[in-house]
Amino acid sequence: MFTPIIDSLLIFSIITPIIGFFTKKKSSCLICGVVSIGGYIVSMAYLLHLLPQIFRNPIRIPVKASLVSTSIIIDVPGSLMSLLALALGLFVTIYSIRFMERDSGTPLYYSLILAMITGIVGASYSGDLFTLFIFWELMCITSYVLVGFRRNVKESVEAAIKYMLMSGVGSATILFGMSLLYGLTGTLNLPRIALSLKAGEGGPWLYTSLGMLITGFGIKAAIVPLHVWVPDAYAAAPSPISAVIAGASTELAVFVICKLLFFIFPAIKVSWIEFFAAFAVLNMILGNIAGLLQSDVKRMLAYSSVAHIGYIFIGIAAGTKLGLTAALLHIFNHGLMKALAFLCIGAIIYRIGARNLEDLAGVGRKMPITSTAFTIAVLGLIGMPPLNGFISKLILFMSCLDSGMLWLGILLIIFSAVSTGYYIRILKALIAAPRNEKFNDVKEAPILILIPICCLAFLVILLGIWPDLILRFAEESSLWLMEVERYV
Amino acid sequence: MPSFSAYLACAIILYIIGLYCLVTKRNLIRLIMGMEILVNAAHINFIALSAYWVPGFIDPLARSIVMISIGLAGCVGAVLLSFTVYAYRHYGTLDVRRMRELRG
Repeated sequence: MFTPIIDSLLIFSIITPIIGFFTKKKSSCLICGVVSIGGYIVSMAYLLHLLPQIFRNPIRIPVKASLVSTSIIIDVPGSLMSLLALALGLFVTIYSIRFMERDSGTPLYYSLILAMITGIVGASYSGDLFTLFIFWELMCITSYVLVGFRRNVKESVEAAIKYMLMSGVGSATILFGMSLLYGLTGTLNLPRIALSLKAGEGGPWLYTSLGMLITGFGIKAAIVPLHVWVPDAYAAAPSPISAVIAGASTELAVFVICKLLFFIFPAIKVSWIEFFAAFAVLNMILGNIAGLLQSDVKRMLAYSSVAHIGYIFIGIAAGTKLGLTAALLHIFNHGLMKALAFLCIGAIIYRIGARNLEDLAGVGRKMPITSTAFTIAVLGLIGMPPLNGFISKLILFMSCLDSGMLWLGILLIIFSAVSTGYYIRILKALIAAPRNEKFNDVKEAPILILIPICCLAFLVILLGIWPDLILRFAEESSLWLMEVERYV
Repeated sequence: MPSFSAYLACAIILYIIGLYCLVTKRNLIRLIMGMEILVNAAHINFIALSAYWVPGFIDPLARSIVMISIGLAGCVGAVLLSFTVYAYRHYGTLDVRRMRELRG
């Protein structure tokens, strides 16, 4: 149909519930989990196999059966995003085999995660707005169901409804913005839109369309006035789902915003640079201050996500090649770190069933591997030197200096310091608190939960001490996004 | 035959009606209807713009995206309605302002 990268995910997403239908209810969680892991491995292997070819030239998959020509372009920036999504999908599926064993309907759960990853991969590879919108909606609809997956819990239904209402408005706004863009240029193909907008001046309709697209994608990306669904949805969803939404789906929204801005709208760059600088500051202020006030660890991590989206916007506001590289690098690194943090807190919830700071005090001594990994994630989010968060924050700061926005760089450092306040509170509760009697029979998390946590922690450290590979990848991606002529 | 700008104005008015409905109404079912109005505003805009570029020719691309988008809007509506049923079971009301378990 499209390309084996997307096809294998789709096919496995269809066969997983069929296999689940024929297996016994007791073992269906394990069997369907193993089957759906196959989908990620096939897809990732094919992507890694294609990677050297992609670096030379993007691969076009035209579906030209009719007049309606839609296209998927397998290019470097899309590969960066889909590698992140596939890795997170794989880890989260391994993790869910033990985490979701007490729930019913797990075959559908794995199928929905596969469909969501399909949406993310397809949207990051999309070559026109039509394909982008369809895969975007695929991701949205599956994530609504996944957030409200535990439908017997009051708060998860409420969070799902809030999330759906806001995100549904976002999708409609995106469609309206796309229709205006289509009216201005007469095509939906991204490179062709970019070429036809490069020549002309920006009229009022172009600004309206840009505003609508940014609003629509910004709801998913948690730009500050539109972020209200984030803490509810992240806190109420099952932890693996929080990890994949925070790590891949929000990042996809930011990635699409980067792609639209630098690809389609470079002609009116002056107007959106200041806008994004303002929203970066707003996101950092609100995310970090609200994070300080929380007592629920998952809500705290959700607000830290809002703050990190602000850091990524600094790279967009810089508007240079270095800024875009930094933004893409932080998208990748933040996805890994935030997913790791959510998976660790999920392991603790799996063992003790509580997520308030006071209830967690002292549990770190009983779960040493989980709390070590959690410490690594939190130190990475702060931006400690040997971890990957430091590298991307450093390059974000350098990009500010490069484009003469020193004040933005200084704000980045100040708010990183402010954020340390609540990260250290979590660490203090986990590790420094005295031994608690009620945790005497708490054991370390099971091995299937520890494997993805250890892999992600290893990646966070590895990309911190040896960032060359991913840095080159991000640099090449930003080159592709800044030069439209290479696609034509 | 009404001019092109009439269709555009119609789409924008529909969009504003949808937003108004989402902001002021409290019943979940009405909110879902407001969302459908929003999506339909975008559909009308697409169809109107598809006939704008070449006189006498209607671009099939816009029609296909509108048809698929109608299907997608149906999916979103179905998921929302099914969650509405669960919300009614938990809260005993469809008033969104009474659903306030999550705060902060």
